[in-house]
Amino acid sequence: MNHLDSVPVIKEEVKVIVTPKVFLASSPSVKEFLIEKGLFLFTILSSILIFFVFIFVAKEAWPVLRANGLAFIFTGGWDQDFYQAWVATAKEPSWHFGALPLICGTIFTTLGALCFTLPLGLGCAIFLVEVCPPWFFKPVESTVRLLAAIPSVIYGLVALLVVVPWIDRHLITNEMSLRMAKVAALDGTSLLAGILVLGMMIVPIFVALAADALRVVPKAYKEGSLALGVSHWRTIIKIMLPVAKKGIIAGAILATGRAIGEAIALSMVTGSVANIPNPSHGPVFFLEPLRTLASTVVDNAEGMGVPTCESALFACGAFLLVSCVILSFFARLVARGQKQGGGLNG
Amino acid sequence: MLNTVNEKTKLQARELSAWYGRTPALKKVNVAIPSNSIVGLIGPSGCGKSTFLRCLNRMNDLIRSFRQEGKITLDEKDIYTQDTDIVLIRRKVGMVFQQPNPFPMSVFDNVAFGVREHNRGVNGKKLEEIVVNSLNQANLWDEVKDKLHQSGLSLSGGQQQRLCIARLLAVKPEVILLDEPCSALDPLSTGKIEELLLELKKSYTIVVVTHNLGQAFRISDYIGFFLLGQLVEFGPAAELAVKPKEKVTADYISGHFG
Ligand SMILES: Nc1ncnc2c1ncn2[C@@H]1O[C@H](COP(=O)(O)OP(=O)(O)OP(=O)(O)O)[C@@H](O)[C@H]1O
Ligand SMILES: [Mg+2]
Repeated sequence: MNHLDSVPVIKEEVKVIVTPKVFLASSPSVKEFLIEKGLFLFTILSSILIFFVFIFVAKEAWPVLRANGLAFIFTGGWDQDFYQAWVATAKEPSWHFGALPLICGTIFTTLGALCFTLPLGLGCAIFLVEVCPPWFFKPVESTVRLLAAIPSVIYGLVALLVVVPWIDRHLITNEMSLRMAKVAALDGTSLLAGILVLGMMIVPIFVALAADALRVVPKAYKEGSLALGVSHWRTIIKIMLPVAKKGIIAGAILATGRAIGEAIALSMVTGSVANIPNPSHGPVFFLEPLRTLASTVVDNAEGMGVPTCESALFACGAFLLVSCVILSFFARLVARGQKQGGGLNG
Repeated sequence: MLNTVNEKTKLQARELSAWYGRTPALKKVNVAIPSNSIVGLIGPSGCGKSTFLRCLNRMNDLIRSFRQEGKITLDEKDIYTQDTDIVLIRRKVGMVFQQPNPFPMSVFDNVAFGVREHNRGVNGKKLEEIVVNSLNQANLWDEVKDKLHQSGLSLSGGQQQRLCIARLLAVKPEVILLDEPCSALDPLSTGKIEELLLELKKSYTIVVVTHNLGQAFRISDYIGFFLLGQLVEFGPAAELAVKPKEKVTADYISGHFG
């Protein structure tokens, strides 16, 4: 996933940095012409590159997707399947894979992280922009931006050394371990640890974007509402949040994207077992280990030499790509709504 | 001070000084604003008119570097004490800004917003009645009655300003502060707003900052002349027009200022 992500980014940098400098010397109209065509070329190139990434992933993923059909999504047993495929002979390859646990893992960790990130992050953003004094705001804001830039493996490491042992010691009882012995070993690496580390990773991104969205709400709206004798809190809730809504949603979408694509940190703290935590187990649900789609691509990378395994991993990648596309489609939808309506109605 | 005996003082400033950081913006302003009158504030740019106006409903509280001394009373009650309810003060002393600032919601919701906030119980017929009345009072009803559910931002500048006045009238303040309400408007819209202010005078106390001397003399009962943070002169508009006490005022009015 990571190398796929980085392709368009590099392209953009090239686009910005190289073109203007190369043609500075020529006459203005020629220069403009060249810059324009150059930018156009780079845009086309990066589009083509993204297109080929999609084609490539789809082509590689296709054998496993065709062999399993919908069963790929709806059946479990990934770890056994993967082992079977890994040891199978080249003459009788095993094409059966069930990715349900991985899909559930991605959904559970992402939703769980969003559940506590969104309210907490929104609260932080409101506090930063509307409540705290400026001398406090500046350092906190730069800290938040720094946190957003920390590599995920650091978060994973800290969680592995601190959060996981803590969960093992304080939340997991012997009774629980015994009860769950048949399903999975409870050792602290768990859904809860995944949710916490993911939440810590996406909170800063969301806070930074939500705070930006709140800060650009025109002061005239706020003053207009206050001058009607509406309290500060009601003004935030009824005027500022609705005006900033689009930016806040965009922040949430970006945070979701990062959560879905996170591989390393989650693979470190969720136990790397293709287990589906079962909500009917009660609170133990949160203490069960699991593995997400993205972590799987990393954790099972040793299978890359075997065609069946390779195709299965690309199928996981295909799901991640599709979810990215869906998310950016939503983001586009939100942005379009902003241009047309730009209002609080509805 | 200069008010005729039978007029009740609505707002009063005593020895009011104000600073932005270290820069003084107001210097010992003393003035009594009589109820049910229009007070016009004039003076060159940067002399502190907006600052003074924003002191009257504590809008300056939003500016962190702002500091003030002296006293402002509304109906004889100090509005800068520890236990003053700022929200209540702003409810009684409403403000219309230089740039029309309707909320990005429908015309109807713009007017209904304050009413709903102050009185959660009001809805349906009652709310509609208040909205229609306020729009009528602001001389806007005829122009917007077919677009109540369009965005307030789709109105013309003059209509937007009257919408802002309507949304203020809907919450029934006692004092209306206007900071150069017509500076973004054409003469026709300006005329409509002047008419409106004269009409509103019957039930409200109005303080209006304006750069348009003609307008100041047309609509005001009293005029205050600010210069470099001081209230140089305050008196009935008729007197100020004919025979100002201070030479600077006369210079400013006759356009020989500076
Ligand atoms: N938010 C602020 N921060 C710092 N200084 C300010 C601020 N607002 C106003 N000032 C300063 O205070 C002084 C008075 O400003 P004020 O806005 O009251 O003038 P004004 O009479 O309304 O001018 P204008 O007619 O141009 O609107 C000016 O020198 C201005 O630079
Ligand atoms: Mg001003």
